[in-house]
Amino acid sequence: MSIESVAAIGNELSAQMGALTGVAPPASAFENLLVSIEGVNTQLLAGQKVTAQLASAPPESLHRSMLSLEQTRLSFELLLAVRNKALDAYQELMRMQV
Amino acid sequence: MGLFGVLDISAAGMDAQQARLEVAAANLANAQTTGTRGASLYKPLTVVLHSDMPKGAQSVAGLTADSLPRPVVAQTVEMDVTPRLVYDPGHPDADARGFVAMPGVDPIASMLDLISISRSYEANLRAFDVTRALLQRTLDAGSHR
Repeated sequence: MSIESVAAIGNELSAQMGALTGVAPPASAFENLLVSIEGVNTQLLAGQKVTAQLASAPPESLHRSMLSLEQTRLSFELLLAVRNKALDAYQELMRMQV
Repeated sequence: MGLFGVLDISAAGMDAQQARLEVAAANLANAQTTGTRGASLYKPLTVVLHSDMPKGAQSVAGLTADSLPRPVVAQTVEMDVTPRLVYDPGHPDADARGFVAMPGVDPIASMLDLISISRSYEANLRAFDVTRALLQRTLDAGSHR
């Protein structure tokens, strides 16, 4: 959704951000978010497998299992942080006086 | 992959130390075995560690955590040490003079190895922990609520 009178500001802003960071603004931020959620889900499933292996048989190397679990946990927390940010922004917008 | 890549480097270090520990344990465990007619006498083993690029990375030019060299077990080789001869004429594996050959495992060197392995593993674990803590704290910085 874009409102024409303000869309120009957004375009200007993303162009400036692009110039600042050297990264082209994403085509659709929400689409990117969905892709990363899928990535985190894959991580979670991998973590589940590791946990099952830990429970059923002594692991080949404990530190590798821990590495995998730790990566899973951190990527999920990152997703959670992004989600909280997005929700905060949304709520902030909803509180705005019109 | 940034800091996640650093975690992987530390894990590779722990892999290497685990391989050393396995060999050290095997040497100590087999120290009292004797050679039989069927199987030859156990020879103390040692691990040769090399530093290698991870698969896919060509050079260190990029210098990201994903392309940095990490330790790999190049090979596990038998050490060329003379067997220890123990005089035990009653032993079934004793030779004509009554001596039994046992692997030349050096107990003092083995103990030193164990200390070195333990400390190296701990060092890698510490690096792992520091990276993990930094990742966690960076995530916490994003949620000050």
